[in-house]
Amino acid sequence: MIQIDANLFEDVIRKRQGWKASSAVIDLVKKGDIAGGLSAWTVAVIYYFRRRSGMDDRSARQRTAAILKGFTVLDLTAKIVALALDDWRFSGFEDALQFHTARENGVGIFVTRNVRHFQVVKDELTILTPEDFLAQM
Amino acid sequence: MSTVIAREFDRATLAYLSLLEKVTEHMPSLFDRTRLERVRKEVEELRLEALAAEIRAEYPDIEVDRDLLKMVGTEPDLPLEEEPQALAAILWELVGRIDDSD
Repeated sequence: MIQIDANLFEDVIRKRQGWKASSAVIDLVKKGDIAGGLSAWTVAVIYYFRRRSGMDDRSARQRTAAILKGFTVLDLTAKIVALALDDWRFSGFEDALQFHTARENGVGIFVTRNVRHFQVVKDELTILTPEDFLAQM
Repeated sequence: MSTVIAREFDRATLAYLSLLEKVTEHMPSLFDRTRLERVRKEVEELRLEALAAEIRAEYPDIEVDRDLLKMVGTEPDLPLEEEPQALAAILWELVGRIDDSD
């Protein structure tokens, strides 16, 4: 299974540079060609970004549900939170949450735009950009 | 150049679709609803085809689902490097607020 970072969804929704590769990766998961999951934390991030774009609560929830269709939401447990809080290799707590979610859920590849943030764990988890992931398929 | 035009086309069609929806909702008596809907579908179809072609140009084997294509570019830009600060601001505003209504 691969785990996808929230920034891939934002690439698509905001049509940022790299949106085509991010669309392709998300599409592969939505169509069931590859198993894809995301952290429960990522769900919250996607929801809050929709609120920032001016959506009311109901619209933001509906949009988030539509975005997530086809993905497995990976459990965010007390153990993962504890591991992330205590992992000082990461400069950002959310990155630590992503990493430990992947580890605890048996994820093989984490696909993100922020590969640089995960260099500290590159020997423990395969970290790829959407473009690199598609190239390796 | 073609990238710039593609972006311009996408933004213009998206804005036009939004306008058609507003007109249909708020000024229903001024226009033929069936005709508006036909135009809306045609413009949306053009937009989705253009987006699919953009993706196919780089990834010929991938045919992205229409529902996903419909989401492309529908919200304002937010640079990747600004995401953490933006998220912190949202959480402060929406979650961190104190309800002192009583």
